[in-house]
Amino acid sequence: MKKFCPLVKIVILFFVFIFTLPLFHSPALSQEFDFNRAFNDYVYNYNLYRSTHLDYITAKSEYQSYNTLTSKTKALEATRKMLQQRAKAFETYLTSLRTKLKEETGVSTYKQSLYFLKLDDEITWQKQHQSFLTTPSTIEDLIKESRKLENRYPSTSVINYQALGVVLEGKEIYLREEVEELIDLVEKKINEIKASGEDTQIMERWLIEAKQKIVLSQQKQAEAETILSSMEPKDTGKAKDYDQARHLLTESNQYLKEAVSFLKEIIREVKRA
Amino acid sequence: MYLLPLVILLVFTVLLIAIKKKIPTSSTLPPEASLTTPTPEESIPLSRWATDSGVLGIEDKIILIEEKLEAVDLQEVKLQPPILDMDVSL
Repeated sequence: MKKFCPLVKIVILFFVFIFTLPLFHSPALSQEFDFNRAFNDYVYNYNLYRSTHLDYITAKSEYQSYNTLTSKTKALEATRKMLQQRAKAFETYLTSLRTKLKEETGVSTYKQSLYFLKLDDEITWQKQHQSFLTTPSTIEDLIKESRKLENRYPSTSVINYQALGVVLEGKEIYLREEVEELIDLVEKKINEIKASGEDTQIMERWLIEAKQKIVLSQQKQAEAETILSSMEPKDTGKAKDYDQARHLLTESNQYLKEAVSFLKEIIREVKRA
Repeated sequence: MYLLPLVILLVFTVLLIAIKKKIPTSSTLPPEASLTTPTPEESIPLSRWATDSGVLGIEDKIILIEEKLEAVDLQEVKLQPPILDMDVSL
């Protein structure tokens, strides 16, 4: 009997493990929180914000027209709900930006960590702000709480634009690395042809021009980075600066296209007798 | 007496119409002539590297990277910061 005891224990443990396995594999846990999910969450909450904002406008208008206790109570509640939803929409926007940053392969680890910290800090603040808005309050308290977000918004929007810029830079870095790999392959092939005794002078010249396009692409990206990093909360034209940086990144992309076009010509020349 | 010039004018008009009908009015050419001259197929002599697996591999990679460069979204319009009311008052 003593011999069977450990075996019985193992069998019991095996069945316990089998029966409890589905508990650890709940759909909520298995569903990955990726960018698409985070973005849908943001769109949903932003639409809710717009709806609550309309209610707030209506209630505010009624309160200002009638100035009754009923209209005041309604306006107070509509404002509280709208402020709460404003913070929720903003929080989910920041979360979707964070997931985008996480999924972009070309982003450097340093920049990713830096903006994760900044965005996480903002997300935590937005959550705390929402918790202050959960209970009914006075008009003065609500406006005071609203001002906190409004005063913070200029510095948060700098983080938004910079993080968005890092996402675009990541895309560009990833593509440039691919083009550089292609340049290396073409260079190796030219060297192979040269070693076989054939004239490769033209191809080598064209390759230098393709490499030059990579340098120009890097320069445009560096210009974009300078604009984004010099952005400050007090700046009034943050959106304009961001657009300028985005335009520079598009130019950087154009240089990559030109580099690839040169490589195409080199291969055409290689194939020609 | 007055009929003679009228008859001459009528005959002249009929003749003019007949001549006009003979001359082709449209400048369209017959279908054979309107066809563009086919360009002789360019037969570029190929080098021994044309069938090299490395060269063909690079060609494939070029096509792939071209597609990626065209498809990349450098706008990210949907991730623009949301428009929120930042002047709340009652």
